[in-house]
Amino acid sequence: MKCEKYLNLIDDLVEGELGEQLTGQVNSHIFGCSECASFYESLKQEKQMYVRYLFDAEPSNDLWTKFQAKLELETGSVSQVDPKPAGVPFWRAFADGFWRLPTAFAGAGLLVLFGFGFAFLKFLPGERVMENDRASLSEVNAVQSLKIEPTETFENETKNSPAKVESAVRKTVSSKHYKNGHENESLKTKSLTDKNIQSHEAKAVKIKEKTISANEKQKDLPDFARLTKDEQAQIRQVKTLEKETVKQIEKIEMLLRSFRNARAVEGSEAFDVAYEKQQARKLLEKNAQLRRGAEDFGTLYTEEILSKAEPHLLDIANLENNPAPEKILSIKERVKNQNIIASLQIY
Amino acid sequence: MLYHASAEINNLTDDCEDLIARAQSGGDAEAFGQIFELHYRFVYKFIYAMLGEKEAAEELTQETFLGAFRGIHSLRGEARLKTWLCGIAKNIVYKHLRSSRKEGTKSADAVESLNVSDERTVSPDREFLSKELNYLIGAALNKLDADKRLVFTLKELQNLSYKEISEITGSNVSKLKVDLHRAKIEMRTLLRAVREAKK
Repeated sequence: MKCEKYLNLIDDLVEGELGEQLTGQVNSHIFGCSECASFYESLKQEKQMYVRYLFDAEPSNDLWTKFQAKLELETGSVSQVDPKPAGVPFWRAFADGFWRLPTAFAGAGLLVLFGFGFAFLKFLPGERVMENDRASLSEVNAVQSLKIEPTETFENETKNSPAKVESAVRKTVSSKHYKNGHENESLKTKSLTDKNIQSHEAKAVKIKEKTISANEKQKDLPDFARLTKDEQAQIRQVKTLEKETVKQIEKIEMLLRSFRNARAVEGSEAFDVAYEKQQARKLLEKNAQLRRGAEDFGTLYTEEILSKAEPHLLDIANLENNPAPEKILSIKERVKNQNIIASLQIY
Repeated sequence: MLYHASAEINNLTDDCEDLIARAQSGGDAEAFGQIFELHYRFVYKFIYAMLGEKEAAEELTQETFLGAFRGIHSLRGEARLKTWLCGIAKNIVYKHLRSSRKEGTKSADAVESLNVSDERTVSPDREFLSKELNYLIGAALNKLDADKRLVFTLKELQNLSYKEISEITGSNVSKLKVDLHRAKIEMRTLLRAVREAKK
């Protein structure tokens, strides 16, 4: 009666569909029940027999070349179906299309254009200042190199008034000179010619713009900054864990690929896998550590992928230093058949 | 040392999501080439298991990837590339099976001839035995109806999880379990002769 309960579970165990807890239960039952143990063994053998079926089924080497030719034909046919207008400039195509529109649409388009034109003319002076400002980036840099720091009074004075901007610039520049020990009256007046005033105007606007944007940035602080210190620390830990997991998975993938691509060399009776063993042991240690971290933070997918890789690492770590080719090939087979490399890549 | 072997495929370690995004954004043929490189063997083996014919499997693998190239824009973020490709391959295989109506013809002869060829299968040559066994498994597989063969192939031969198979077939896990159970029983019946011959 008790065995009946386990029959389906044994099937699921062989199929790799049981959770950790149930696996433990079923394994302990199998350990104590010879009938179920032999049932389990026969299912395992059967599965291995089927798994071998596709082991040698390999496509021919020129499959990619053949496919590439088809793909080229395909992309060619796409461009034939939907050819791009060759040699016709964009503006020409647009203009042609525009004049072909019905008159009503053309009229509407003209109205919209007038609207834009009006708006443009209305806001032109302000825009010009901004344009000059952007164009004279080097000048702004020069101003920045003077380390003019916008003070509160400066900001208040520069509000919407060119005259105030001018005086503010005078004040700021002179105060800077004062700070630097260059308290020279003639130098102050000389440096503020009309031309300079204009450029300083633009610079002052730029500085103000920067200050405002900085204030806005402070207002729109990311959610992260609003979290408590503990929450921030936790997020940082999760990010670190993720980064480490990515590195770990890359390393595991490399190691497993080396087994998947292993070829039996003619005349050699054993492989030297001392290096791979050492790698697998290191990776196992790290894997256990990362898996625990993933468990703690509840990142289930990370936990799952790390658990999936672990049996393969164990297989490699438990090899002798010079194992027989059959052992390597059996690992190779498992790596291939369980598609572990693809799973790791998807992560 | 085995580690040197990994160097040749370093370029395949790119993130699949990145490849998909590249292939989706501008029909990047290079990105699609890498997707092909990563998955063609899996797709080929699936089709080969379903049809048992090398040439047809190669042809339909190419068709699958052409279909994927045309439809890569429809690939949603949460859909896994492998199951998505396998879904396309499944549809192409079903279409092929419907059009060729070859189901079961080759396998019947092969399996019926098992009893006759018992003497021949007992050979000291392991490779020969393995080839013979593969041929018989292939023949028995072709005896299964397409739905059971599909579940059997994906679960037993390609080791996918029920969840992944469910994504590909659209069937629920309970149905998949029942189909697989029946497929296994049929396969056992068909292959019993082989086991006895081996003993």
